[in-house]
Amino acid sequence: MKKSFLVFPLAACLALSCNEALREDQLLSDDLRTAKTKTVKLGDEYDRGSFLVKFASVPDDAMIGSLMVEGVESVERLFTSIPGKEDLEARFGLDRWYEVKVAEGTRVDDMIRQSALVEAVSVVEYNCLAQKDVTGDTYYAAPDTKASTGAFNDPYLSDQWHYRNGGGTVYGTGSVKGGDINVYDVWNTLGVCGDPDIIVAIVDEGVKYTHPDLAANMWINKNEIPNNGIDDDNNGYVDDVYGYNFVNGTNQISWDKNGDTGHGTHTGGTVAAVNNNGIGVCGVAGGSGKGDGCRLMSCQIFSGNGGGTTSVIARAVKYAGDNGASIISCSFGTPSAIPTDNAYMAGNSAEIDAIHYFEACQNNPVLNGGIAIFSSGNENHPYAHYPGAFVDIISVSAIAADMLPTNYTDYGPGCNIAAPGGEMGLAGTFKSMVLSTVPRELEEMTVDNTLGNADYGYMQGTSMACPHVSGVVALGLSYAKKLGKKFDRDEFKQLILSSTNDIDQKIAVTKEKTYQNCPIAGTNKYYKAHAALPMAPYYHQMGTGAIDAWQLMMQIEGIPTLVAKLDKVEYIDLSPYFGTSSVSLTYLSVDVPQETVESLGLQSIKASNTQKYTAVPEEGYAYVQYGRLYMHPTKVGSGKITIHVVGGGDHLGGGNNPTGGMELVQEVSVISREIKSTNGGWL
Amino acid sequence: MKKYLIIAVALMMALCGCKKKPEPLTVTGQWQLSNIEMTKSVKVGSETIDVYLEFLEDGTFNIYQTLGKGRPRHYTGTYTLTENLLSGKYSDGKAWSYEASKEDGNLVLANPQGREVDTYISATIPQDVRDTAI
Repeated sequence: MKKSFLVFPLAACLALSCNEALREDQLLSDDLRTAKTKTVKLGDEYDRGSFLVKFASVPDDAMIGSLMVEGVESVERLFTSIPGKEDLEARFGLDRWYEVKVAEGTRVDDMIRQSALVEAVSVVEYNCLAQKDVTGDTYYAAPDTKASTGAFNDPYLSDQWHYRNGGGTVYGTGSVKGGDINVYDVWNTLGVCGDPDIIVAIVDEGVKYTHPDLAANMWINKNEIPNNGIDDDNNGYVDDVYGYNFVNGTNQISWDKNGDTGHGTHTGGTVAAVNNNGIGVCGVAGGSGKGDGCRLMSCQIFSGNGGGTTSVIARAVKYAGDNGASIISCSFGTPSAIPTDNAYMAGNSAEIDAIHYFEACQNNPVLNGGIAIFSSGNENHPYAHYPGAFVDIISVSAIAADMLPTNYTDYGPGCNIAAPGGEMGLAGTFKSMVLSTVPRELEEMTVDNTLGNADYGYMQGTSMACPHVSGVVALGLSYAKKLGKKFDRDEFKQLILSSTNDIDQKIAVTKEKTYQNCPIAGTNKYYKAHAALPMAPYYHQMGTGAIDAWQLMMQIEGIPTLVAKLDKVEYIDLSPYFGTSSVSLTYLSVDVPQETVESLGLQSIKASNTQKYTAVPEEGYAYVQYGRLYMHPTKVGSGKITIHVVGGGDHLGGGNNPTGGMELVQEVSVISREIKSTNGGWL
Repeated sequence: MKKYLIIAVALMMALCGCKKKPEPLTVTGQWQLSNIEMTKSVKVGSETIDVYLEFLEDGTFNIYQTLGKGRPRHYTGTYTLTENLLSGKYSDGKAWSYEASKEDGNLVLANPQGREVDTYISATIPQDVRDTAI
């Protein structure tokens, strides 16, 4: 009995203690669950000394103070506010983001978990590290002793196969004539070479603004008096003349620190190295030598072995939008498999909030916002990495001179378009990579390379593909500005993505591509050839194809010509003009001029209406339904048809109307023929 | 004498009765589109059409075409000519066929229903078209 009395309290104690332990576990588990749902972690690598917090509403001192617990060093607002832009900042929640710095010896993970339990906090984000999308080293180019060739007098232009590829083997086995961005005719025939009012922010390592082939095309903040220690333009940054170094928080943009690679100077040169100045290379939107190139703003997010955190990137992107950039060229990403946009967006990352803010900043007369262009990544993954993979950001994959995917490029979901990124081993020299400007100060680049200490060099990566698209878009904006045209930002993105050349046809007939060893000049060493690369996985996985500058200009100027078949009710897909939303857009009217009716011999036709997609008009010489333009040509001929659409909503806004969209007018050009090849060939 | 006269007349009749054997049709060479049925030039309405065909002896063909504005497009494939039926396949497998004939040295291609007749003149494909085509 005694034993029983003794046993019972012991069991009760044990049970009680077990219950308490259970409750504690449960509580801890609830806390963990709460913390987890509020926490955003975009990559595997992150800063151990800081993290980011987004409050549910604009915080007061008490809310900010609630984060100042033991182990926290400081809580400061992440974004600098610009007078007059407060509403836009609030729209994207930038006024609610704070950066928390933790004291040395404190585990940032613990502080993140603790901060997530603060009720006023809606998101806690790891300050993750992005990486540059360049593969391998940088190789200096041989001195430019060649005669001037090509569209301009820049001696290296003939080696920039990515602008005009003449085929042959110098730039790679299987090089394709026209395996380039097709920019020569844009420069020569259209005379479109850039515009100083179109500013491209190079969000990257520092751009060497003193480079002899870049200096004349650097953006200069005219409202800032250099080196007077005062923020003259009140933009939150002191003495920011060419941009800003967000890594160190100073105006001292750098490119020669230990760990720098010349990445920002190289990508900047591809966008807008000065053209026709008799030296070095050309940039896609580098002007004609008359001071008419697009301008480069250096938004430095990498410095030596540092930088690249979410906070640094987010600040740099906002700065670009606040200070006049129309395009951000971002050759970096976070190498982590984030499966969906929602995962990326979970709780709104500071990075994507800043990008959306940038996209809403109107800095040119053509577009109602900015264009964000990112590299897709160099991990050879079958998906793009973020932020580029995000649904409304243009992500660029890399092709080589053979117009085939490179052995490093990411491909598949999230990859929107392709451009030349270069590929070592396709030729027996570095010439199969992309040639652009580099800083001559980087001595480590001279290792194994007797051609060192030059201002030009070869690199490869989706990092190099990205600025080609940025440059082409800069040219497009320059041309649209010249023509006095205006576009909706999303509409312009559709134009970009549909201005491409086919890659898949060659992928389909190429089993695999092979590589050769690449000797290193002045040494007996060589880079070993990459293993043969099967092409099948890339089929239909390289976005909409390879960017074509000429096609974009034509789309800006007018429209490409379409072929309709004779003697049948024919429809033409309108998605190249209005994007995939063409099916659900509200169409107002279709104008068919009499001369078009006569030239094409159009017969009157009547639509069989459905409730959801009513034809506009119900009958006539042409109508639109299901995002298709229907007509019945009976004669060989050609003509133009004008379509009126509501952009944004199902009715027009203005006046006493309820809030609505704006009217878009699209001209469509049609040739009718008896024969219509489905592949577009004439026969 | 009468005998020789008869022979001479017979020979003359035989010679007159001989029909000249027609030259076999050939399409080999380089051609430029010059006319489309119902139009008088390759500028149809407001759109310019520029098409070059090249039929090679090895049974392959090249097309360089520019429809409206833009860069020339290059298509390739194989062809055969059986009597006057010219048929072929693009490299992607798409088939085509025309009735071919020659008129004043020009190549005339009509679709089987004869509804569209395209005339091509002998021409040399410009090097810049070859170089810039994609």
